[in-house]
Amino acid sequence: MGNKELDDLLNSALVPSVTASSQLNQSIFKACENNNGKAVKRNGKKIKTMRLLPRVAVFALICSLGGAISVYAATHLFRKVNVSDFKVTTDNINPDSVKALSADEAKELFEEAFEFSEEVIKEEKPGEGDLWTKKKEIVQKFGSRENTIEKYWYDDYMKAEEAEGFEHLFKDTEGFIQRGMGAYETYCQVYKLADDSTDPERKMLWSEMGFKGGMFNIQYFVNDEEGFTMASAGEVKYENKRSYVSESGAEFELWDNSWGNELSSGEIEYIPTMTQTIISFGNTNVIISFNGLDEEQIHVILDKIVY
Amino acid sequence: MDRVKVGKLVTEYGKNLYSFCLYTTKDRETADDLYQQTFLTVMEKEDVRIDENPKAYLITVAMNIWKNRIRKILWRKKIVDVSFVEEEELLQIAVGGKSVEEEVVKRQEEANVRREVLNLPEKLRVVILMFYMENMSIEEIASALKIPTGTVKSRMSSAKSALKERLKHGK
Repeated sequence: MGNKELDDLLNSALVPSVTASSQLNQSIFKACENNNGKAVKRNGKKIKTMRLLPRVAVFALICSLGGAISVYAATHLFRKVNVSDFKVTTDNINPDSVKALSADEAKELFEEAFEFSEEVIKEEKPGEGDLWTKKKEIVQKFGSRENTIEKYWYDDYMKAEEAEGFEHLFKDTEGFIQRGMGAYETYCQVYKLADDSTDPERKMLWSEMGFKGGMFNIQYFVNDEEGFTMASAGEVKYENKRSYVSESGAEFELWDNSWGNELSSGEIEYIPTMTQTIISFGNTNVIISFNGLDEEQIHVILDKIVY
Repeated sequence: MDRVKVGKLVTEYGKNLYSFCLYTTKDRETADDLYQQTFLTVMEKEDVRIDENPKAYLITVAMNIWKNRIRKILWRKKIVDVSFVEEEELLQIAVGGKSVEEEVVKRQEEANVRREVLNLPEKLRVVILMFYMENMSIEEIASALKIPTGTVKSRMSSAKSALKERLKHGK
């Protein structure tokens, strides 16, 4: 296909043709009228007259910390990976163990997440000897909570593992697209302590890579002693559970996630979102989410995992 | 901003904004929320930029909300299925000067393109949507996304290469 042909196709295919429901537009007018044309005062909350996501479609990985629910806790609680006992098992994390949040918990989770903001306060370029390519210091706010994190970007996933002290997950990354698409990235996230040092116990390696026209992402982290819980709010289905034994003999449990989307008729249609597997060794967890890849392609990736 | 102004924006650009929200979030519920939140944000402003280029302004506001707030809680939600597009497809078949067969083939090609656009990584997809769906210039896209024009061009080029590749293989 030539450029001209693709241009023509994109022009004819991508026409803004979908309208918001009249109910949604009315809610906007109503909010406007309720405020007599003056600026809307939200005080950090959304206007109550609006349609406020009645069925919250939130899926988050959540850790329980003294009963408190935190959306990002799962990605905040990292410990340096123990490299000695690497083995693949999904025994302790299974889609069957996914907990539904109570309505109150979901509300709290959602309200707080909506208050999320982040601000880059410092950006650095690498010096001589640095393996990272970019570094940012970011202040994240979740409602009343605040964290300062540092993120280090890398050009190469395996290089990032080495530099940050993570055990190699893959035998090699041949065929994985790590750069050049403008969208794929690998970074390590660490937390800053009050004395300005970084917390060695809280570390996450994140990577999104392309493969055969689809993509997959990795969250590689170590959880704290209190355990790891997957939780969901809203209509989320975990189905089509199956196992795959890789070439090296590791057994992976895979499942497909679907999100509920309520139709105007009131029915809920489930839309497939991604295929996932979670590898657990000791208190370390690696979540891999596959998108736009068929089963065979997923297996090729799993076959590359060290076991 | 008063009701008249907001009404004008909803009438004139609502379809553009909603389509953009839907293709960006790939989910009606989230699109509804992003659309609504965009107008809420705009209502709070008396910004001269709204009058300069309302459509680009609305898309920019929507993109900022998506990047900074809503997307954070969706935890890398990725939707492969594009059933909402297929619904639209059925509604949109119209025969104008072409044979029914040609029209059906064209519609199928367009549906394939839309599907593959939706499967692009978000950073690439948004640039394609802004350029082709919203007819924004490279400069407007750069300004909306707060990135250099060269980055917009390279994302556009990467997106088109990926689309060509996927369409060639009929995925």
